[in-house]
Amino acid sequence: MTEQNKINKYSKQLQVNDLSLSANTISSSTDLIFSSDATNLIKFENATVPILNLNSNGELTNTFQDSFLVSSNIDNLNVTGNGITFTLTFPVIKYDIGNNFFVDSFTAPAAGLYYFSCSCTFTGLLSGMTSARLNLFTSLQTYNSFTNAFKISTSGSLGSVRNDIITKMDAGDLCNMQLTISGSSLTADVSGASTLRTYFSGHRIA
Amino acid sequence: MAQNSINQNSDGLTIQNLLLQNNTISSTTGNLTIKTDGVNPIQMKNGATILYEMSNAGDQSLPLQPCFVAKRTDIVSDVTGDGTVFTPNLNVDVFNIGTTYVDPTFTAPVTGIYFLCASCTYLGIIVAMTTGFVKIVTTGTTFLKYWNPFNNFSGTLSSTCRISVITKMTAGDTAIIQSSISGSTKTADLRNFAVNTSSYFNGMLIG
Repeated sequence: MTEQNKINKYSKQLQVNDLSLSANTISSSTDLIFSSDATNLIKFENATVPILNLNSNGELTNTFQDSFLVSSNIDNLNVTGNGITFTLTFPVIKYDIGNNFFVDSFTAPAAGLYYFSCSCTFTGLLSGMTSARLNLFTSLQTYNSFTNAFKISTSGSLGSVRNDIITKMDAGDLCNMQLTISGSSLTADVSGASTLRTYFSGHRIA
Repeated sequence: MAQNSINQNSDGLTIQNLLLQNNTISSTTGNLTIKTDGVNPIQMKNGATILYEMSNAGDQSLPLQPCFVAKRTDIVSDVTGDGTVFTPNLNVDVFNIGTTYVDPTFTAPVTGIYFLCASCTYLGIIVAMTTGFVKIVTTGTTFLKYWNPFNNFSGTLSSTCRISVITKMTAGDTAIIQSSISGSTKTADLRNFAVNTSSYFNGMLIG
């Protein structure tokens, strides 16, 4: 005989097969499955605001997840070359979901895992500037990428170095980009343009 | 007004467009919508452990999602330079959620899409060392990036070769890093720092 569904009015709990509904929790004694009608979405909402959609093709979108892309459209002249570390500046905010990017640094709004990607283009190099290091600085760890600035540039003109990482951050931790070129005088420039050659992007992924 | 029903014959419960049956909550018509009170998060738990959380601001987190960064804190001398292919032993975990990295191998805990990134930084580069590579070797697929160590050698500092990929892996598939420099003698050193991270292996399950 099939077991009957139960409404326990005293515990204010509803039991349907493997599902239990109690207070603000839906739980299952086996896998808990959410299912749509094979056409429409599975949605998470904050009151009336849709925040996450999973469509019938399995495509998950979340338009509120913290994410940013910033760039430089100007040249920062004579910022390194003699070993000075320059923290890159980004006058152009392409997008900044969550408003976490301020004064050239990203601040983690919550503990989690974040992906960062950056590219720095430099120019004005002298032959002695054979040492370059692009740091992705975070409060937990600084991730280095080393190269020979002069040799990877075009006769001392434009050259690029990039870096990327998935890293753990606590709420309030910072991330920014730092460039150090050594070997000569303070004459190396960071090059910006309307097409993105010096940029910094990040996304909270979990 | 139509009343909600407990259908004892089909052993399921229908409430408007919602059907609760066995272990499944489904919508028979329209979107299935899960919402909070506008203040608190939506959580998915395994017992008392949070697996997934969506804040009321729309930020989702997966605190147990497998992810790691492995590095070293010391220089490893004379690892290549003469064509020797070696696997870096990255024996310090910056973090290792899920303990999926056991030096030097990452093992996929489930079938899915993974981000993998490898970075090797060298010291001791001399002029003849003009060919090198860093590989990410997964079960069935090898990803390779070549570079010219000498042309990228940054004076008194170092030369870095980095590669990152997004790839599909089956549960139990493995990934390791391999690297080599050719053209001279076995005098190239794998550079690492106590604080900064310059030679590392980074991975995460992303989907």
